[in-house]
Amino acid sequence: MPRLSTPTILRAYQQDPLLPLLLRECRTIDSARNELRWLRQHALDLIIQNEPHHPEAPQPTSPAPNPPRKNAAIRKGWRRTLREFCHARSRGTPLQYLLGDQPFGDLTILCKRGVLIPRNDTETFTYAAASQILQHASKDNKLKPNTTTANNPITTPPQSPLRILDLCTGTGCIALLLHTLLSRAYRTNPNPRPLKILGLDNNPLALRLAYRNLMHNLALRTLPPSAPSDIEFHLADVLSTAATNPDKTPTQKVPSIETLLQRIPAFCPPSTPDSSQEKTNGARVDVIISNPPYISARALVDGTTARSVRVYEPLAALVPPLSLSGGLEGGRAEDVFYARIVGLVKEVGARMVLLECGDYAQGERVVQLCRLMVVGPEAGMGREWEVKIWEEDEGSDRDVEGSKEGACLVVLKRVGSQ
Amino acid sequence: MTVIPWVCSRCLVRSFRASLNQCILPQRRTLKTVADLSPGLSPALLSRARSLAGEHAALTTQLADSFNPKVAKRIGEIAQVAGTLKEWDNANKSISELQSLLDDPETDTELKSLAVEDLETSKHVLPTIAESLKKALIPRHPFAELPCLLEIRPGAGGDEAGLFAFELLRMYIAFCSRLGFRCTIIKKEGGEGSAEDRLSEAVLEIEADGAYDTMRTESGVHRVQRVPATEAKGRTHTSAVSVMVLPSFPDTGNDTEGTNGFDDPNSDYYIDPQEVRTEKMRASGAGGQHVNKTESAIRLTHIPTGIVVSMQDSRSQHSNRKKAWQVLRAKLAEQRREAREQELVALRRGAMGGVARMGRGDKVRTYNYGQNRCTDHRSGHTVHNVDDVLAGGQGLESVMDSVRTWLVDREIAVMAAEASAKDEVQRRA
Repeated sequence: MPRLSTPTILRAYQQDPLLPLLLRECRTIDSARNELRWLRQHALDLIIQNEPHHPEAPQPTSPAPNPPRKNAAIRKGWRRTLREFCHARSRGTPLQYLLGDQPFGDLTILCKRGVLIPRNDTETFTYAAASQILQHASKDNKLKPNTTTANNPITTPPQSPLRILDLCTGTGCIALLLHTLLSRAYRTNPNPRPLKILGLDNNPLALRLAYRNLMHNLALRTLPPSAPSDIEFHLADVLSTAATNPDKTPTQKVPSIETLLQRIPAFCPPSTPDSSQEKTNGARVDVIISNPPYISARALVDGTTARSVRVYEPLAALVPPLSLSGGLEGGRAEDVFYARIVGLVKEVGARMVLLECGDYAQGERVVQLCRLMVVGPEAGMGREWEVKIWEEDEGSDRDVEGSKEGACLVVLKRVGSQ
Repeated sequence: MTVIPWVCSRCLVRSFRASLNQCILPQRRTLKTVADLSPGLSPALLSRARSLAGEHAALTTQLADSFNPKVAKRIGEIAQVAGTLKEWDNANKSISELQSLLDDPETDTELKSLAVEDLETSKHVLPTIAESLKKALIPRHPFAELPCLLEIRPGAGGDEAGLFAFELLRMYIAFCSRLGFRCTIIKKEGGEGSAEDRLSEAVLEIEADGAYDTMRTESGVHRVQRVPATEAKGRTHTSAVSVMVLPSFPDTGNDTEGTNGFDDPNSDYYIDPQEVRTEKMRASGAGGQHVNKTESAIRLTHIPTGIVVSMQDSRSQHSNRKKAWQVLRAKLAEQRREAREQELVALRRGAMGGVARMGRGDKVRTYNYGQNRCTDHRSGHTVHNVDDVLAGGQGLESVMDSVRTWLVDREIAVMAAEASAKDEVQRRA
C-alpha cells in the first residue's frame, strides 16, 4: 500500500481534523469524507434515538445492536462518540461494525463481529443471480409442458416451489435479497411460484444474525411478509460429506448437507420411486448459490487481503480450512468449497449453480472443475450443461486489467431439457 | 368638373382595403353566434372546446360498450372541458331566452322585471365560467401529476452562493413539510471543507403525486442580495442559485399503459442503457472478500448528451446507482421536453407575438435582505417578509401562487394566439 502523501494529509486536516484518521483506511479524501459523514450521522442518530422524550422515539422494531454503547454515547455527546468512531476506524475496524449495518440492495443487513460483512461485489452478483434465475425459470417453464409432462411428474406441478440453497450464508444477505428480488418479480405473475430458500452455515453466531436480519428487514418492510415462511436458516457443515461421516452418529453436532436436507420437507418431497433421475438421495434443490470462503492462505498474508479484513473479520469465513485436501486430487486448498458444491450438484438434482470466486484465475479453475465433474468432457455435443463466468453487460464498467483482479461469478446451468 | 386628375395609388389601396374589411366584418359576425355575447373568450378557443366536448361524448358512448383504461383516462382529462362548456352553453341559452323575453312586447311588466334580475345574475356568472373554461382548456403539462426532483446548485457568488443554496434547500424542505409532502434528500454535497451549511449540489426528492406541478414555478435562477456572513467590510453582494425542477418517474414504469415508461423503447423518455456509461469509482486491485471497500460512488454519463450524474451519498452501490439513474432519467426527460417546447416555439413564432418564453436560465426571483423583500420577476409579486419566505411559510406560497396564475395567463395567451393564427390560416384556405 503506497504511503499517503503529506499534502493529502494536510489537505484532509484542513477540511476536518478527523479526516486524516479516516484516511488511513480509506486512502482517498473523497471516500474519507463520505465515511466521516456517515459516522457523524450515526453518532447523531445514537443521541436522537436515546433521548427519552424525543418525538421521534426509537422504533421498537429495530433492535439496538449495542445497548451499552448507546448509553455511553448519550453520556459522552456525539462529538466524542464521533471521535472515538474515527479512532477505531483508523485502527482498521470495519465501518459496518461501527455503524452496525450495511445496506445490501434494498435491505439493511445487520453486521456483527464474527460474521463476514456483505460486500458490494456480492450485492452485484446477487442481482445478477436473481435475473439469471428468473430467465432460467421462465425458459424452464416453456420447456416443461411439452417435453416433460409425461415422464417427469415431480417438476411439472405448477405449484412446486423454487428451492434455493444458499451455502455459507453468513449474515443471510444473499438468501434475503434473493427472496425480495424473486418475490417482487413474481408479484406481477398471476400464478406465482412459491419460493423456498434455505440458508446454511456452520457458525451458530452467523445463523442467529441471519435470523435477526430476517426479522429486522421484515420490520422495516423491506422483506415481503411471506419471507419467514419461505426462508429457513440451518446449521450445517458444507464440507463434511456422507463419505467422511458414513454413519450419522449422534455425537456429530453439525450435520452435513445431505442429512440436513432429509429433515426439511420442502427440500425432500415424497419422491416417487420411479423417478428417472440419477440417484438424487431424495433431496431436491433447484438452485445452489454460494459465496464460500475463497481466500488462499497465501493471499491472506501477501498483501492481497486488506489489513482490516484480516484482523477484524472471521478467518473461518475467509479462508477454507487447510486440513482438507479438497474434493479431488491436486485441487488447491482455497477451492475446497467449490469442489464440494459442484460435487453436490448431481446429487441434489440442481439445475443452476452460482458461485462467487475471488478472482478470474479462481473463476477459471472453478469453470474447469465444473467441466470435469458436471458438464463432462464432450461438452460440445450434448450441451446439457453450460458453464461460464458471468459478465456484467454494462460494457465499459470495468477496465480490462481491473476486471481480472476483482471477484467474479461462475454460473453453471442446465440448458438441455432432460 | 368631377374628374380627379391624379390619385395616389396607396390611398386607393387603403380605401379599397377599408371597404374589404367592412364586407368581411358582417361575415365574422355570423360566425360568432354565441361568442358574440362572451367577453374575453375568443371563438378559436370556443371551437376547440366544442371539438373536445364532441370527443368526450363520442368516447363516453364508446366506454359504455367496452371498458378501456386508455379511453377512460382520456375522458377524465377532457371531462372538465365538456362540463364547463355545458355550463357555458346553458348560461348563454338562458341569457338569450331572457333577452327574447325582454324584447317581446307582449310580456307583462312583472315578468319583465324578474327577467331583468335573472339576466343580471346570468351575466355575472358568465365571466367566471369563461375563466374556468380557459383553465380547463390548457393542455395538461406532461409531467404535471408526477412527483419531482428539485436540484439546487449555487451559481455565481462563491461561498455565499453555497450558503444561500443551503438556505433554499431548507426553505423547500420546510415548505414541503408544511404542505405535507414527503421529501428526502437524495444527494447533498457540501463544498470543500467540513462546513455543513454550504452546498455544492443537492437533489431533493418530493414524493407526492403532482409535486411537479406545484414546484414547477420554482425553476430558474434565484438571486440573493445581502451582506454575506463571509463579508468583512459590510458590502452587499449579489449571488445566484439555480433551481431546477425535474420530473421523477415512478420506479416501475410498466404498470400503467406506459406513457411515461422509460423501459419502453417507443417512449419519448426512453434511455438506451447502451448509451450510458457507468463508472464505479473503485480502486483497482483485489475485490470480493479480500477487501472491505466502503467506496460506493457511481457516475453515469449519458454519452449522446454528455450529461453526467454522480452519486455517492448512500453506502450501497446499488442504491447509489438507482438514484443516479433516477436523476439522469429526470434530467433527460426535462431536456427532451424543453427541446420539444423550443420546437413548438419556433413553429409558432409568428403567431405568438409578444408572448415570451421563460427558460430556466432566466432570473426568476430576488431575495433582498436589505429591503426585506422577495420579488418574483415573472408575476411582479413582492412579499415584504424574507424570513417568512425562507422559512417556507405563507409568503412563499403566495409568491408561488402568483407565479402559477402568471403561468396560466401566459399559457392562455399562447393558446389564444395559436388558435387564432390557425383560424386565420383556415379562413384563407
